[in-house]
Amino acid sequence: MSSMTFGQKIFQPKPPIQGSFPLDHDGDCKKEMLEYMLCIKREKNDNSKCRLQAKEYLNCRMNNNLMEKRDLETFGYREIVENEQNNK
Amino acid sequence: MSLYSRIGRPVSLFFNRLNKAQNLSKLENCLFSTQINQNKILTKLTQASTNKIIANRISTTKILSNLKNIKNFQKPDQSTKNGLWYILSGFVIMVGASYAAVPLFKIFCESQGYDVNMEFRDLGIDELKKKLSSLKKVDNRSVKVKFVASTSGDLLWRFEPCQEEITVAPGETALAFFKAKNMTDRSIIGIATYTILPYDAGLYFNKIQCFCFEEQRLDPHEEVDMPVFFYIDEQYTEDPKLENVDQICLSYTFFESKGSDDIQNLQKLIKPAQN
Repeated sequence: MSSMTFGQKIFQPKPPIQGSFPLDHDGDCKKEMLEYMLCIKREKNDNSKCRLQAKEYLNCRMNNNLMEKRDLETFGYREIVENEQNNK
Repeated sequence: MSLYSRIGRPVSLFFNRLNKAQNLSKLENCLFSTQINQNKILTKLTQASTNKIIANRISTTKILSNLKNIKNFQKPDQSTKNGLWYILSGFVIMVGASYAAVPLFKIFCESQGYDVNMEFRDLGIDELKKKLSSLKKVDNRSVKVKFVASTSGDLLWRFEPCQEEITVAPGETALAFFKAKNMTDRSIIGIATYTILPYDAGLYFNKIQCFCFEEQRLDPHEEVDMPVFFYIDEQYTEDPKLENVDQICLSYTFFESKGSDDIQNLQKLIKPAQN
């Protein structure tokens, strides 16, 4: 530590669980990202109402090799996945 | 003469208490000499009866021993007094240290990075992944996460968050975006780090995937979206320190990575070859 401030709580950044997102240079998922941003603006920054769009974005990333493929249920989208299966 | 001894001894004790050593010693000498004279006279006068002699000798020895006690009373008293004071002060210091140790230990641990909530650091990646699959949204609590983006002075990128804030419930995964544009004519590699304020809330903030700590290369005038996928731990609601904390600030800072120079050199080498 460059400045040894005794008694100050020093924030230690933690590494992300799944590592780093590779950059989307080609804009493959730009559409999904814009849909998500529109939803956020519409719902006044409420995350719980835009989970479908977020899930779509993650799906897009996985399909375009920009993210490790994992079952979306594990990311807490279990309800959405179950709803889709029920609807089908 | 016996009256003198009756009066003289208490007087000498009185002087002893007032700690007037000079008077005391003088008095002691007077008493001592008078007692010795008394002794001599007594023994001479009562040579006939042995009982009287023995009685007088006993009494004189008693007087002598009392005198000696008076004479030596001062010195052990002072040293034991000092010793007692030292022991008492040592005891008080120990008690005070045991009270002071609690906050001092806390400060020491915080400055060294050993946290009270070690559980969050000990969780390995696999355990965290398992936890992800069993995440449940907490219903009656919502937290606003504000986003702040900044760059270091020498990094010529335009870096900003796409949304000012997001309302998130603990236990719910959330997605947020940042936008970065390389404003220069050369490829720059940037590397980002982040901070969470307040500190106590940052312990519960877990990122599943983001763009920090790895080098990200941006071509000249390229703009790119950088997502952050995170969630707030469910135990956020159970922390008493975070009862009134409803806003968290997530701040990212981009720095230029030293690998940029290598990239430029490579590009300079490639261009003449292409030409």
